[in-house]
Amino acid sequence: MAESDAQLVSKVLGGDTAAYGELVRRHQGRVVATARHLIGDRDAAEDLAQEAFIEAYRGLRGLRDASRFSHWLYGIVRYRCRKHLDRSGAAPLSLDSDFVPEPAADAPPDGEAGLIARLDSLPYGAKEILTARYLHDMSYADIAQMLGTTVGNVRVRCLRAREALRAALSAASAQEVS
Amino acid sequence: MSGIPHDDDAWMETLSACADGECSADEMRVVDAHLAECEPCRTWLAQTSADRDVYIGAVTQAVDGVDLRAAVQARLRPLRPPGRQYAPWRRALEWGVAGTVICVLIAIFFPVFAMSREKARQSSCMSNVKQIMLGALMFAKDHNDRLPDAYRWQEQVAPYVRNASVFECPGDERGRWRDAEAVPYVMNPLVGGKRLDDFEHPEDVIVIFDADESGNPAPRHDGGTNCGFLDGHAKWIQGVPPGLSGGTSFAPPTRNYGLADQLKVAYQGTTELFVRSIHQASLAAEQAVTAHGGFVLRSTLEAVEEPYKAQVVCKVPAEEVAGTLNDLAALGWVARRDVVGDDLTQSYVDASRALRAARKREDRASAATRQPGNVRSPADANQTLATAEQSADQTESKLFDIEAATTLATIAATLTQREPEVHVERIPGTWSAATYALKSTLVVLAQVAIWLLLFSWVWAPAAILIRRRSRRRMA
Repeated sequence: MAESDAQLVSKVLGGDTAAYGELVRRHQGRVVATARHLIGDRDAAEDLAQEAFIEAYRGLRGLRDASRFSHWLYGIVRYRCRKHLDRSGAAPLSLDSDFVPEPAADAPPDGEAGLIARLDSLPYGAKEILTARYLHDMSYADIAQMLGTTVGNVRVRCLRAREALRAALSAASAQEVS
Repeated sequence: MSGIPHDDDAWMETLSACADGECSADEMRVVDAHLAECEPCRTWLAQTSADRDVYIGAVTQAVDGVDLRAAVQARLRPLRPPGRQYAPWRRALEWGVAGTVICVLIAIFFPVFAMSREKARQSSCMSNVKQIMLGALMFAKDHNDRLPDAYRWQEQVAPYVRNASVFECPGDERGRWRDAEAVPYVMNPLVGGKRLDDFEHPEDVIVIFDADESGNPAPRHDGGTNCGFLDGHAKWIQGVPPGLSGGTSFAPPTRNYGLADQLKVAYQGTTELFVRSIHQASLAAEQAVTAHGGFVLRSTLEAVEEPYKAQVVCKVPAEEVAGTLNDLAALGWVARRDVVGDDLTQSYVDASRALRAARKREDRASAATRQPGNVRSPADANQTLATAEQSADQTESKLFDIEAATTLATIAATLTQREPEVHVERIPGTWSAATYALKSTLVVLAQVAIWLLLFSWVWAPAAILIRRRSRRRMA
């Protein structure tokens, strides 16, 4: 039977650094996927994910509820992505522009790559909500706490993110049909 | 269909939340009932679920094959395990450094704060003195230009001031629970009860001043004393105000002004005192007299019917008049004091001359009686000698009286037992003291907190730096 995150965290805190490797293995896919989706660059996403794991390791003692390691890790990743984009000036990060679709550059390629490109062009706010909800399975309350807003607002954002996702997927399927 | 419009954002939000299992039980019932009848909504939910699967698949597929374990483990090796605790001495050192910095800051800035607080107290006290002074002048205007009595001035001035708190000096360390009679202000006894036009320069005459328990000027405000002057102005004077030091200063003259070989001044003092315990005070008065080299001529005590009274009549060396009166004044509250100096210098000179003349007459008369041939009648000669001798004796006796009167002064002290009448609101008991102490403590703590907040830009970065350094060392 696989050990839970909380058990692995307590092992790491007990001095078993190898247990952290298991935590990395367990979460790396979602973490890198989240970072890549948010910043749109796989190499940078891997670097950023590494930094996030290191930072999580350093601050592991400050984690109050070890069972929420995944959510906590997502918070670190999200913060680092924001910081990365802010430094590079790659995307507008104001609250008003969170749900404004990014302008489409060239016509996205067909197939899987086209679908990924369509998803990457989702508004940043929508991507944050979708990754939190779909990839990390966070509840509305957790998302609200992370974003510093209310559950009601998260409900609204979720709906808007879903609508944006539907529009992107529709556009992708329409391109494939044509 | 339940008639719910599908373009309603609120409904779609509810539907979306239900798709995530994040709606309430009531909402779930409504949605279930609606979904049973509404095909478009069921389709929307199914589409949403499909979109979710497509999204997760596409996003995770984009990073297939990623493996960070080796890279992360390599970077973890030099790091200190997160579960390892700080060495206790290091934590103690951190706290010690932080505490030292805070203490140094407090030590530097607290005196500055205390100084400004003392200045505020001084200003408040100055305002009190000025109000009292104005009240005293208003009293004088209503009482034929006569100032309040030095003993009952508070009672007399109270109707002319706004409230009793003006009789409280904020710098009085004894606090508000001190004895009721220990009022922080005293009226100059040399001024009390006198008329305004008795003073030629009212701007130089001190009427009210800060005083300690014994009535002496108290330099409690930054080494100075707040004084109220007869013209109504108040002033802070550093050191003991002039004219108020040492209390009574009656003393025999020590200089020869060219009038005689030695000035002869006879002092006679009378004083009336109100005391708390007549028995103790009368005994203490006698002891004060003997302590100054004097002796008691008469000491009476009447303690049968109130008011209990005692009287002490004594002789003290002329140079001890001031000291004796001051010691007597310390036994209670001076109601009246009168010291009269009678200049007998001229009488002494006249008596000395008369004595010399009488001695000459006596010598001549004596010579005449020894040579009977030179006088017409021996009986007349004897009569003349007797008259001369009598005159010389009388003059000598007069000289002795003058010497005695100028060497020993007479003091008559009348003591009356009476409780002090002070109309200052008193907060009795231990509770007021405890409340005051608590208040003072809270004020000090608040001040410390304010200073720490004000100077957080100094110690907070220092604390953060120390923290970061310790973390780096740990890494």
